[in-house]
Order: sequence, then C-alpha cells, then structure tokens
Amino acid sequence: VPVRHSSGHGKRMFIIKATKFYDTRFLNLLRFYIFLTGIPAALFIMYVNIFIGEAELAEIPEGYVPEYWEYYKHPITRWIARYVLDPPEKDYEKQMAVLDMEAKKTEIRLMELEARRLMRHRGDGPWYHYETPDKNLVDNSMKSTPDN
Amino acid sequence: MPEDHDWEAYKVPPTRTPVADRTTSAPNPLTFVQTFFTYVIDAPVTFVREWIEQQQAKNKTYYYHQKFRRVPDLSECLEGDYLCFFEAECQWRRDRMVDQEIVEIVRERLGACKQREGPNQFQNCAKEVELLKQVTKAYQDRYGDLGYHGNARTCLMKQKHRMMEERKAAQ
Repeated sequence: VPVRHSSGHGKRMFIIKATKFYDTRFLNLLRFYIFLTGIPAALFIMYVNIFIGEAELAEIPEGYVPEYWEYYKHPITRWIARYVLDPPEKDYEKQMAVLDMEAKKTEIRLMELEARRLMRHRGDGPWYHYETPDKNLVDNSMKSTPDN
Repeated sequence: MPEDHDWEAYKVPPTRTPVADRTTSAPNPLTFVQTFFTYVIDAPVTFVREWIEQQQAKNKTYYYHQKFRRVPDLSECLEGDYLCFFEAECQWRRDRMVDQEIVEIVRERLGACKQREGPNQFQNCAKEVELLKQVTKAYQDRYGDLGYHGNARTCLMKQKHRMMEERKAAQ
C-alpha cells in the first residue's frame, strides 16, 4: 500500500491550504499601480539628476541681483519655484496685504464701538433714537378735571 | 557626491605613518588587494562619475545664499503698526535660525577637536570648550526659555527684564 512518507516520492496528496488568491491579487494590483507612475517618475528624476545636475554654490557676483528661483539647488525645485509658485516677494506682500486689511478692519470696528458708546451716553448722535408719539396727540381730557 | 569639508577649518595634524622596513622578501599581499580594488571598483566608479560630470558641465547653474535687507527692529515699531511687527518678526526668526546654526558649528568644531586629539583632548581643546560655553550661554540668555510660542515680542520682553536685572545688580 503506497504510504505518505516521501522516500521515493510516495502517494500524491491534495494538501488543503488557505487561499492565497486574494493576497496575490492585491499585491499584484499594488505593484502595478505603484509602478504605473513610479517608473516614469523615477526615470524622469534620474534623467534630471544625471544630465541636468544640481546647481553649485557660488558667491553673488558684484552688481548682480539673482532671480528668486536661483536660490535653490535642485533643478526640479528651481523649476517649481520659477513656474508654479509665486516669487517670495509677492508672497510677502500678499501676507502684508492681508495683515493690513485685518488691521484696518479692527481699527474701524473699535471706532464703531466707541461711537456707539458715546452716542448712547451723550444722546446727541443719529443713533439710539427711539420714536415717541407727538406731544400734541396726547389726549389730556381725562386728567383735565379732578372729579372724573 | 558631496564635496569634502574645508580641511583648513579643522586643522588635522600631519599623519605620522612610519616608513615600512621590510624584514621578509615575500611581496606584501596588500598590494594585490589594492590593485584589485583599483581595477574592479575604483576605476569604473570614477569613470561613470566623470562621465556624469561631463554631461552636467554642459548646462551649469549656480545657486546663491539669499541676503535679506535689514528692516526696523521690533523696538523701533510704532504701536499698532502691524506691518512693521510682521517684518520685525520675520527678521527675528531669520536671526534666530542663524544663531542656531552658529551654535551648531561651534559644537561641531568641539567634536572635531575631540576626535582629532584623542587622549589629550582635555588639555588641547580648552579654547573650543571656552568658545562653546560662551556661545551657549549667550544663546540661552537671548533665546533660552521663550518656549515653542516664543516670538520677537517675548524675546524683547526677556531682554527688557535682563536689562532691569542688570541695572538692579549694578546698584
């Protein structure tokens, strides 16, 4: 009777294992989608690093004002700084403009609160006027005779 | 490949390898190892590196360190002038980063000195130790306990308190 011990390669067995179908499918899909953009990106970055190369540090020459993208080393950062992002001077001015608007708004709001307070206190401004009926409309007939 | 650091900054004393006096007539096996290393590893790597350098030399670009103009300090700003506050704050942060780098460089110098001197580091590195002590004390005095939310205003207040203490101590 052929037995299981594999000396001389015995009986063929149908070994029952848990399925690896979903695992292999997941890993294959993962590898596929990562390499789909990963390999072109890696090739592009290798091309840039080998053939264009990083910039060298140098002293600023006399009378020369470098462009704002010439302060970065890697060519891809230089490209992004030049064509995608705003120059840092413009960014700075934008931040200062936001601060300026907010400062003016706070100033105006404080002035409005002060004006409101003063008008309520002194009563001589256009605000805090409550409409009261005219003095001539008041009917004093019930108070005109004391015996009513 | 990053360039070597400035050899003049951390002056390495000249190496004192003794002249080899041969006692046997057998060839030194290290020469074979050296030639093997040169032909198998060194020459191809240098060739590839030089080829890459040739390709990069065709379009050479330079980058510079940005020099910022000095703007009026926080102590010269009028009250309520938020734009002046913002510019002074940016300048203070840049100055703080520069000071951190200065402390780091002095620390590295001390480490290099210790590595160089070896067993006689306690005698020969006294200048670097003194310099590091002064620099760290100065950094601690100026930027020390401001915390994560330290800004130019808290630093100015700290300076004001320091000056008040000095004035009290001088009396």
